[in-house]
Amino acid sequence: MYQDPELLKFLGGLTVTLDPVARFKAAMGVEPRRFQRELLTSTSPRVICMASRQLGKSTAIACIAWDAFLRGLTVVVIAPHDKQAKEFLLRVKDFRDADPFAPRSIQFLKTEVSAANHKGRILAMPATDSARGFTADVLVLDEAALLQDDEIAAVTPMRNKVTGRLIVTSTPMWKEGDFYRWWTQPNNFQKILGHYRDVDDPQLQAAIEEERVITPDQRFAREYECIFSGGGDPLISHATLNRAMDNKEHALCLNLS
Amino acid sequence: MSVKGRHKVDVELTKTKRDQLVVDLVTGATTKYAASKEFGMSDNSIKRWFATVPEDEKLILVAKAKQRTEAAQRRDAAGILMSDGDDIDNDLRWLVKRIRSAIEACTDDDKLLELAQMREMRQQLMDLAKVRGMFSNKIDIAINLADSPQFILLRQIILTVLDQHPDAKADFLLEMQKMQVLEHVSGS
Repeated sequence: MYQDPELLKFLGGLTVTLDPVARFKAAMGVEPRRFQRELLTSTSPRVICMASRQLGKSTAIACIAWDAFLRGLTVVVIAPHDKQAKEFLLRVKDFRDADPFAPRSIQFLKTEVSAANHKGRILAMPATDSARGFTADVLVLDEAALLQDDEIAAVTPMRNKVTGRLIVTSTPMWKEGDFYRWWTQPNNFQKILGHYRDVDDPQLQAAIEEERVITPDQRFAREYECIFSGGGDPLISHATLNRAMDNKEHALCLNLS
Repeated sequence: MSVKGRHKVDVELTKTKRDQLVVDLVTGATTKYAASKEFGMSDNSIKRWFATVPEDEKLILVAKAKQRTEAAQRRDAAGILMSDGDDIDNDLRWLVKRIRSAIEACTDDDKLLELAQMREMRQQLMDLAKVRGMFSNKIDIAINLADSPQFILLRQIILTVLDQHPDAKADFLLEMQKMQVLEHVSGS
């Protein structure tokens, strides 16, 4: 058995790079959820992921971004707001901390991660004009449903035309916009769905069900049920439709006597 | 065997051995009893023979022996100085020890200046030995492979090759699993 600590770190770094699931587990201390696993192991040049809120989309993306960074690639993450971009880099730090082969000379700036001797970079920024001018090996549109089509049109050309990947993640919003079209129309995107009911976490599911009580139906449908919905309240809510299809629900009995 | 008029020791021991016995008895390196056991005769024989050796002769023999010892020590010292410095630490330590002995042995007031120079020399040798010791101590040089351009390149090559050969990649990961690499790393 090789006991040299530096060699073990080198081998550990190779292991987590070759096995993104192991990297995720090492950083987060838990197995990735199914949709996260699909995201992590995907090699498709175009991936779109729609998932319920707070399920870990950005965490999985941070794992992918860190891995690409260590491979010497440039990752550009576009978020709707500045705060989300900064928050994203904090998630990247978790993976840096858990990486046995993380470079020591790494620099975490407000919007950028870089390291001496590494070609890789991670840039996280809001979708503004300042986002132009980069060439990304991996372009991530985080919370894409909240990005304007114009903003998306402005940043997508920065993806490397030959080898670049485009990864789009979001919770659904309205029945309009690029994210809606990409998810609903036939195209060459690999589509990954992360629904809270598919998660093997009863505690989380119970917590989300509690949210249902205080959340308007349409909003709950968008944010947790992964359903695009327009404005206004429908005549029959999504929850009512769900109950109508549930065999455990008792039939409505009218007492006419 | 004993011959009339001649002492048993004179008969049984060669001149060289007798001279050495005189030196050893005078300097206290051996005792009459030990010598009697060594040469197979009574300690009285040794005692009687030793009493017959003139005091002048005893002094000359001891002086010659001392001279030989010092000459040998000088040869050792010269050898050390002429050596390739295979064991510089030991050489320096030996020299410092020798100079200290010389300083302690020097009681001549006329040689105060020389004494002071020797003390100075000893101090310099001790400093040299200290510096030498600092360099010869085991030095742990921590090389961070993660920042090494060579290892980063090696890593890229390994990753590129293994990504092209899924079977080899699976085998590699299996081997890492067997070695419990991640467990070792997270535990360190």
